[in-house]
Amino acid sequence: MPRVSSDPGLAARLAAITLPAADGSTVALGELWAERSVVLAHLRHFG
Amino acid sequence: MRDHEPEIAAAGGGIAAIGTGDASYAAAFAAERHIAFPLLVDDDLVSFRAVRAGRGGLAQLLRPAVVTSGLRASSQGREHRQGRTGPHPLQLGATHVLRRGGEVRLAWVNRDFRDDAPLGAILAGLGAPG
Repeated sequence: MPRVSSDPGLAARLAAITLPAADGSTVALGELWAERSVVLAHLRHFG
Repeated sequence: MRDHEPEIAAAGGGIAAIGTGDASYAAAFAAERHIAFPLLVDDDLVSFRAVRAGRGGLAQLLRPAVVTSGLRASSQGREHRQGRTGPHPLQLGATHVLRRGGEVRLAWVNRDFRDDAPLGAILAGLGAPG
C-alpha cells in the first residue's frame, strides 16, 4: 500500500539541503524536482 | 533502483540517490555500476533526518530472513552484490516521489532492512497507469 506523507513541510526541508555528488559537484536537493518528477532514494548503503 | 530506471523514465521520472560514506567511494561505485543519475553523499545524515528515516537494530539485521535475503543477493552475482556497508550500518533507507514543484506523492520510510518501496508504488506516485 502506498505511503503518502502527511508532512506538509517535507519538500521544503529537503529543498534546503545541499549535498556533494559523486561527480564532485554540489547539488541542492530542490533542484532535483524543479523540472520534472524525481524518485529520491535514500540508500542504506551504496550497492 | 538502477534496474528500474527504464520504467521510471517511461513514467516521466528521474532518479536521484543519497547514500552515506565518503565521496570517493561513491564515485567508484557510480563508475563501477555505470550509474548516470545523481548519486549524492550525506555522511552527516542531514537528509536522512529530514525524511525521518529510522535506524534498525542489530538483532533485526541478523534475523534469518534478512541474512537469507543478503545471501540470495550475493548469489546473484557481481551486479547485485552488496557494496560496502559504510559508517552507518544500522541506518534505514527511504524512497520518496516528488512531483515537479515539490508535491510529495510517495513517502516510503523503510520500517526494517527489507522494507524497500515496491516498484508499483513508485510508478503510481509518478502517475503511471496501474
